[in-house]
Amino acid sequence: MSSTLGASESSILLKQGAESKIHAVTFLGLPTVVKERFPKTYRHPALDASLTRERMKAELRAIAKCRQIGVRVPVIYFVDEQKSSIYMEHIQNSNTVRDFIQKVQAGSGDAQRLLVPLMAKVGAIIGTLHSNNLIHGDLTTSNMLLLEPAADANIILIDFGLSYVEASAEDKGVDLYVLERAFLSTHPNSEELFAHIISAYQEANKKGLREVMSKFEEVRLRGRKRSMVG
Amino acid sequence: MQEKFVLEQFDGESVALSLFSDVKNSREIRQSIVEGNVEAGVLTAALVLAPLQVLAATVKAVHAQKNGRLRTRNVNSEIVYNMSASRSIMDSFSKFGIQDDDEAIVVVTLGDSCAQIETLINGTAVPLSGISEFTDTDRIKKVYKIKDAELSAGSLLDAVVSRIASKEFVSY
Repeated sequence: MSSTLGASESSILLKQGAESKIHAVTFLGLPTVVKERFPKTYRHPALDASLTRERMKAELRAIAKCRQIGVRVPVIYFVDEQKSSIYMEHIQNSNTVRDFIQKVQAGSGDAQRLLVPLMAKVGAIIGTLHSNNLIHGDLTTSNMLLLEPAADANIILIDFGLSYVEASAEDKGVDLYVLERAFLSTHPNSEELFAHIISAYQEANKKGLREVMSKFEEVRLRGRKRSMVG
Repeated sequence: MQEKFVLEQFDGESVALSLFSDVKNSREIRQSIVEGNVEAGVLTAALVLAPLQVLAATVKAVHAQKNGRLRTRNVNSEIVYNMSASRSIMDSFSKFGIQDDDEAIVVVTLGDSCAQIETLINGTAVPLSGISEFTDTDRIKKVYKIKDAELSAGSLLDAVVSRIASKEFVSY
């Protein structure tokens, strides 16, 4: 038997961000995404190389830590250090949590009842991250993939490009605040849904919870003040 | 009885995996490897879970060779080293490389160097698809330091492949 491995010639650009490009390829015979951090020409090349390496390392560490604490993340297949590229599992048969919520909210069907358990799952996952002192750094409903069937509430977290390990209540509060801002702007009039995330979070992250919640409130106020001043 | 895979990414270079049981001369095979007379990576079958695990280690080795970044003597020893999540070369070899008392081994050959090693092995070639019969999953969990919590987030193979791929960057 002979099978062809390695990245195929044809690759599809899925996303172009400020820091990286994401391509879909086939690698080791498997559906794969390649996240490539490209050089920043405005930085000194030596500084750029070491910053890029450090960021890639932090991302790989956060992904590894998530898996170790039982939070689902893509499998890492290969790392090309020279090209600052991470080859990882391309999650099939999934929607972003963002798309799922929007689809459900646009309809009037039976699927509404799936949202509360789904939010509980989201809150539990973030609580697990924080109780292990892992800050995601870019929590949005676009960075959460929901596997089919949606009723199972099987969520895979992606994009750990801004993640780091930190025990402080301040950083956890900011992580929640970032999610709240993203959540309420992507899903208007969904304060009630967001409250389900927070209550499940509180169940999953009891250690130092009071400080985290008071920082969350504090950052919220700070944020509101900023936006009022302009 | 070998299974062949083409590494499309590396100019169509091919890799062949074969599994042997009832091997009687592991000590002799290991000696030949030490003397540099074996052009193959030879692994203890007990720590091999699936072909994907070996291929992940092989891709890293071939990539390192092409970029002049081998950490061990050659591309074959690099495959053995890459099987481990540890950055200690000694530790990787003493766990994943062939041991003197091994009765089941997995042989990894790149390109066309296959025939020569197979004549050295005094054992029975068996289909690679039967690997699970020789796999010691408890030992795999121990060697790779995989706890039960991690297995609620994916399979044992997912955990192993992720470790191999990111071994330079993550310590376990």
